[in-house]
Amino acid sequence: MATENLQIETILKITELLRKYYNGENLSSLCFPENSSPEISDLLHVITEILEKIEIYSNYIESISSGNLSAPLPKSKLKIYNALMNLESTLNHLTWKTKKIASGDLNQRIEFLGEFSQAFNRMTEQLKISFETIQQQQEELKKRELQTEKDLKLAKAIQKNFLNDYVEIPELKTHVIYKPVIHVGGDIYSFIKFKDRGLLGIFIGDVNGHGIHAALVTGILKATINSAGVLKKDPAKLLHYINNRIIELGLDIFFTAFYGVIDTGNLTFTFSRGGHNLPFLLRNSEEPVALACEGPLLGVNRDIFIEKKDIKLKPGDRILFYTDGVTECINDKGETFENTKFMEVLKEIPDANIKDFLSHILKSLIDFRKGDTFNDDICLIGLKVL
Amino acid sequence: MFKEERKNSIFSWNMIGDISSGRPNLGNDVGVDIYRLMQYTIRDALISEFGVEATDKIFFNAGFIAGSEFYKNKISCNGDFAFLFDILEKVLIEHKIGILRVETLDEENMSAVITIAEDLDCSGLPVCDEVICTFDEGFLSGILYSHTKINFTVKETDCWCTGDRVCRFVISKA
Repeated sequence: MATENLQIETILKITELLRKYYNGENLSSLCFPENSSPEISDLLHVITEILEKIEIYSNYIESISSGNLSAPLPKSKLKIYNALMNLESTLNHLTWKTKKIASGDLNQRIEFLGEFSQAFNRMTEQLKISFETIQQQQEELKKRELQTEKDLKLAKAIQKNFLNDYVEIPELKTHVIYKPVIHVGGDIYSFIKFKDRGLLGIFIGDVNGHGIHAALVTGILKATINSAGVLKKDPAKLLHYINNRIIELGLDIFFTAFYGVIDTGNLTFTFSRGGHNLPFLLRNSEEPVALACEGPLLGVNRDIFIEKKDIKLKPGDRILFYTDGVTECINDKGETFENTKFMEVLKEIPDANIKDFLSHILKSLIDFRKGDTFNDDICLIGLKVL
Repeated sequence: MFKEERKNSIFSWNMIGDISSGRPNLGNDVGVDIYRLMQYTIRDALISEFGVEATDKIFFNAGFIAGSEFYKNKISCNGDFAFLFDILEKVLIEHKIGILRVETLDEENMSAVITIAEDLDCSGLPVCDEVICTFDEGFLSGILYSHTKINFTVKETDCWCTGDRVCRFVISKA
């Protein structure tokens, strides 16, 4: 009777411990009774074996839940092992499939995983459609780029043709360097010869933007200059005329310009400006003198004040006209040419001929930029009074 | 044709015959239990006659021939090592042989770990601590050889019969 009572007590103790385990207690903290009868010892042995396996599989599930798919899965004949083995195989397979998709193989599908398969397969199909659409768009874009490239080449030839009105008069030496940032640029220049001997008009301008749009606008400006007739003799009147004509066209474009007329008979230079960079008068080794005068950006307002000024020239004087692609040229440190080198370069090689002088400026720009590609169109016009 | 003495395989696909004309009413399908009835009775008779080791070898060799012929007639594709498994995955489902899942694959070393779930030969067999898919090992080796002209070792490491629910095969160059 006493033995029976002891066995019942042991079983009650085991039941209590199992209930604790069921309620979340750790296996290691449970202290199962010892010195039981052989039957109860055997029962305890089986129970602890099962509980230990459950612990092992819990740890395994925790590992794979945190992404460690290489965690070892100890074998057993418990059904939970079969299920975990299947899960392991599936997770490894999904990892492989995902890697394949990541490498660009969008034909991958997942089979027999219920709603997940459907969602996964829909995702890859959608990805495939998206990639194909992008590919088609890229091909279309490439075709358009080729067409644009062709158009730009044609525009370059046209622009070169209408810009090429370089003229010389015996009393002056002139030179031009023109480097559009792409095939065609928004910078424009023009030499205007008059019937009156000894007069030469020099126009320099900069239209906003680059490419075909800008090139077309430079063409319109050129045509407008050509249609200006006698106004070309008066710089302020010519800039007014161009400003109003462009506004009348309603093209919503704006530009800067500088125009001056040299009279080699009395050695005067009369000039006006519409928002353009100030040219420099360079006389021997003296400090460069900016040819300042009032005048706003053109193409914006009809009623504007454009000042006209004149200066006296001397033989040997040089005038440098340029666009903002020169002064706003940026180097790899983010510095502008204007703020670092420009004034220094202007004072260099004072005795050089005008062509060498412009080449020297261009070389300085290339050195500054560490390469011959620029962030904006470059236009340099040099003039020397003989 | 079928009963000639031979030292090397003379099997060809036409030995299977024209099933559509031969079975106009019953068609191409037969139960997996009937397929297994044949396989396991043949295995039984072979073991009785030649022993386990020799029977395993015969099953492997038969699997290799089957794999080679299956490749020639049902797969035959161009593509790298990984691509073969993409195709194989589809074809094995199409022919209801099993659900192949690649777990890992090393294209450079031409090695892989794959599992086959719902395997035609063994899924649902009683658990007995024996890896049983010797025919499958030969079958996969035959397919791999036919595609690459390289000999592969295909070893079943986990099997339904060992309580693993899926059969896992480790594949590497021989």
